[in-house]
Amino acid sequence: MVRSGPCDGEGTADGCRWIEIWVFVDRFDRFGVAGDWNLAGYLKGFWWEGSSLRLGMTISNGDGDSAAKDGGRERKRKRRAEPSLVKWKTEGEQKTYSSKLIEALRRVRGSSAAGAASATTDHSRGRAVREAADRALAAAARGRTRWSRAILCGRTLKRRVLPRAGRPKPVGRARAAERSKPPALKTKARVLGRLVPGCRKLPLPSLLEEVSDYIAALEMQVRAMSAIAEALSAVGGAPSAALAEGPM
Amino acid sequence: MSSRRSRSRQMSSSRITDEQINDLLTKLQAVLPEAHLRSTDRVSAAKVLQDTCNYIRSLHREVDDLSERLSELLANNDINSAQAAIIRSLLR
Repeated sequence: MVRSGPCDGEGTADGCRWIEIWVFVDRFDRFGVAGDWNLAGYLKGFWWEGSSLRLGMTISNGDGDSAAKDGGRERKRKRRAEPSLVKWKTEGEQKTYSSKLIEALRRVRGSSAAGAASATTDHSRGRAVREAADRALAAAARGRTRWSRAILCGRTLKRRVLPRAGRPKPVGRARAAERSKPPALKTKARVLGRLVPGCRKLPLPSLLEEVSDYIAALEMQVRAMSAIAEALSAVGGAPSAALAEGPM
Repeated sequence: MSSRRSRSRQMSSSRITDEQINDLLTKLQAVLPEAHLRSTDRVSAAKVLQDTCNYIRSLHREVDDLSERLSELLANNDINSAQAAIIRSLLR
């Protein structure tokens, strides 16, 4: 049984509205992707189920059809679709990401110009760019991975302490599993979990899956940002007056 | 996942998990740079995890550097819609 909670927070990221909806679930269910994303739509709501993040509805901004998914129906899904690493290498994905990033960068520029010019240092602008890039990357992941959801949650919404959904963890089994790994591995795994957003307390198999996807996504991010930087230097090389003269 | 929690099967579940972990580590190692230099026989878990951490850190650094570079470029040249269109066409 799913009870919906109050709408606790909302934020804006890259022009999308993010609304946090709390849902408390009586029994644990393997979380799964709530169907396909409508590419022209935005993530409208998502909620926590115990300690897993469930995907909620997507509502289009008007470009495409709304694709509302019922989270209740999707809970019956037994297997989670494995996120494919190949998509991060496709040109199409990179182009989509680059376009989104360019739009986000335009907004960053706009907001930093609105503030006091002397107050914004290079570093704070760089940080704003980094955060915009990360958010765009997380959005490109379409909510299928924990790290992407953690980025989207952490950057725009207030942090929340998650109430446990009353699912008791069998402590004995957890301890037995830990003993099977030598402490050196545990330390390294913990370090790794800290490097990837949202994966601190993940068991090793899930952590390794998240890490592979995260690395592939980061590589795409580097490729896309380098291309944009090159394009910007090429465009910026011409005096801006020439560009202002007339449309090219 | 809830089915694996039954205590009577806890030893077998950790054996299954170890194989799974080894598989994932091999897959992860393939993604890391210099994967072709390594022998594909042995997967030292500690080394793979260490290399992964280092690689992620270096990727983070690259992204930070690129962000700085982009922010400098943005500071000098505002992106108006015409330039955005040009950049998009350059990326095509």
